[in-house]
Amino acid sequence: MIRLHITLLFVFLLAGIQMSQAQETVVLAVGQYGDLVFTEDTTTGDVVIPLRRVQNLFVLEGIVDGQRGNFILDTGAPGLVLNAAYFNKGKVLESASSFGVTGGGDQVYRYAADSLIVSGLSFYDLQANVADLGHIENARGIRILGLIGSGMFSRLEMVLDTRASTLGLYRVDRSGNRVFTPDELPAADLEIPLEYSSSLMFIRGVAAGKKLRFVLDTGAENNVLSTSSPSRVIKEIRVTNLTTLKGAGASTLEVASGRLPDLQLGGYDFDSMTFLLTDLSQLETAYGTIMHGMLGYEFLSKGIMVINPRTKILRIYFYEDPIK
Amino acid sequence: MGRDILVVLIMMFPFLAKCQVPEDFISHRGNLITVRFNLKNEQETRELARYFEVDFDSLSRFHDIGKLVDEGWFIMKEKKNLLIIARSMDMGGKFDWLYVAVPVAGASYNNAPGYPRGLPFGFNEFKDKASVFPAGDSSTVFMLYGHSDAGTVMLSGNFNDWSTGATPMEKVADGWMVRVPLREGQHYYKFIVDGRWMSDPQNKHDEGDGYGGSNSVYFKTNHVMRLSGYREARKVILAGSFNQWDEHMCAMQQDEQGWYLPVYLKEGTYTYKYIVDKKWITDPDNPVSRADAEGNINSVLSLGQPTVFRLPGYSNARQVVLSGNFNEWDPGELLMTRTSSGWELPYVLAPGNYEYKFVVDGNWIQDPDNPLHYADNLNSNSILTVQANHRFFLKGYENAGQVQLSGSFNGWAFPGYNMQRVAGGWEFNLYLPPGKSLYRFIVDGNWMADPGNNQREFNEYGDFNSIIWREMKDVYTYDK
Repeated sequence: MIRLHITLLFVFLLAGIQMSQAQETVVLAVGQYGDLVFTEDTTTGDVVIPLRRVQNLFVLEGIVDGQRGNFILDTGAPGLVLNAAYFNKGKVLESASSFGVTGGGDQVYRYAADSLIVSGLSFYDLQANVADLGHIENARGIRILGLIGSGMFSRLEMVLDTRASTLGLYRVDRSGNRVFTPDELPAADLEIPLEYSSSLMFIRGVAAGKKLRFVLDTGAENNVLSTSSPSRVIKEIRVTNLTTLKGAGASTLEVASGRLPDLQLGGYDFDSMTFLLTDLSQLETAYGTIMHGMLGYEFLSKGIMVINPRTKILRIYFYEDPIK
Repeated sequence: MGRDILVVLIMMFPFLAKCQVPEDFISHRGNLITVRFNLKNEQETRELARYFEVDFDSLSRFHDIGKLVDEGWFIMKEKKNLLIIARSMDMGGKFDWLYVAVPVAGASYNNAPGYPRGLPFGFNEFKDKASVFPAGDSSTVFMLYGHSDAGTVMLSGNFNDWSTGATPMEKVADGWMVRVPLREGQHYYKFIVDGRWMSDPQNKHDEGDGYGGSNSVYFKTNHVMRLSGYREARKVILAGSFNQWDEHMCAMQQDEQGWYLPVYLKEGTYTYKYIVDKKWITDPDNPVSRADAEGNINSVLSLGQPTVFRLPGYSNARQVVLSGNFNEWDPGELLMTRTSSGWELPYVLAPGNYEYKFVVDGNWIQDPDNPLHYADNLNSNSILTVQANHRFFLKGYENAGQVQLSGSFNGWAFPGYNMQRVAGGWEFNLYLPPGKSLYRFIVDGNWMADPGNNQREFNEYGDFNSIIWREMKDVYTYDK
């Protein structure tokens, strides 16, 4: 089953970078609302965050406005999303709508959070979206306070190690080089260019001779291929299953899933990854960008993933040869 | 552990022909076919579940079983860790019944990875030295030896809901240490050294964490099994109903008085024996014993405060038996004792919610003195809650004729549990399992969310379900 994983119509646009030094607090970015949105308490800003694994979800711990709880690492969401079950009183700012892979739309509210603390990283004066995440809790049996999107870590190199269940975050300079902790990893097995758009990360690929554009989505429990992708690609899918997707609220949708025999990413053949087939046109409209699908857990668990927002390169250190 | 699903099909050979189930998993006796497959094989499970139009998530999680009722399934019978459901199936124009037995979460059974399965029994073994042990103040000490270069070390486990930051360890002379007020029972844990997970290198007991790693396992013990004497024996093994009479698992340790083994035993009643150099003996220090179905005499051990079941009257009855979901509705096991006013039986039950009946000379009856009962499509049983941990309260509605409680904890039963009228409203006390519980009230037939609870979420009917989270740390630790 897949959960709703690109939740928001409204996105955070981290407008520019203002670097300043105030004791041990480093201001890294200022949001569109003029509020300070990202500071670090530590002198280096380099941390290794232990992740909890809940089936194919990556969960990290945070404290928002004094309430400690679980957040899903979700690079398919631009910023912070809070669960309406626990953030339904006071400080609601405005409403919007959300769309997910099920196509179901639900009201989304804005919430002004004073602070979010994650493993030594502190974020202040956050504008969070509030959405119903009860379907994730019910399906996975874990209390979820919210989702932490890619925009929250947009100025840090991310090292996602699925096998070790860790997320490393490292400060990098304008050239993409580590500022504090030396990068001791050898040359990567594969480097894939990243495109940043609408606070999301995209990877280009080729299947059946057609060019495709995927969101790199740590919140996607399954890879997804949009039914609006070129028909030659759709025909390549060998359907093996029908799956019921559950989105926010009560929205459900039965979709086919199957293996895509030949997908090239960064010139490398990713043989027979499984994709769910669903219509992502509403998401494309919401984000105003082309989106043929999402690369989720199956892709991300193939190796150590190093995402550098400055070089805009995804480095992969495969656990095993992906062709096997 | 009941992680298998049993699918019992009656007169369904043609049906199976279309179903891609490995033959190894099929057995049949007469016209009864049993298909067994493993929930760990998600693909196979999904295919079979889809074939029989069973919601996979309803199968795999207890709190969704209520949805099975919405999908047309009847709740036939609830056993210890199994739920038997049935539905009429259209098989080529001929309707028949499909019976499915699914594993369910009992009162102390949590299906989530990383949380103890409510094992009734366990003990500890370490390598060079114990890394988890009781402290003088009844708390439990966790030690990670060495790692003096680490900047931070955290302890994470089911007892702090696998928090990665709530339980920092303190640097001491020979490593890192923290005290945790653990409750008795089974616990899973890992250390987090500078953000990186590791299992306890000293602990011999671990279990796969489901993601390629392993969780260390510790039992906070509550009882010492002891066999006096036999000092010349070479080996003594403890075997009983708590470990499926395993003849090898529990080797006892020797001291000056004889043989001993600190164990965790969940509240309940158990039978056991010792195996002294391969010879089975009852416990010479325990005067309580009972014959099993084959006539073997076993020692009996009861832990916990017994619940006394009483049935008044029925003085002319020849036999009265207590039967409930706590003994898999066995109608012959728990014989009640005749008293001057009726019948009674003390029986130890762990905290939880139970259903039961009395069997009077073969006739099943509800407990006439217990106003709490639950009726489904087929049965009406008396309800007993042992050590309730939550009071549901609906304020007001003094003029309502009847208020019921329905939620994930009772499979969204309709009409649900009958709430009791009290001053200012309606109440029902229940044992809630750890994790999330969803519920609604039914006031004179009308469903409603709890107006006194702000935590709620949308349901499939466009309305709200109220939410209660029972935190894991409240289940596995006590207040210091």
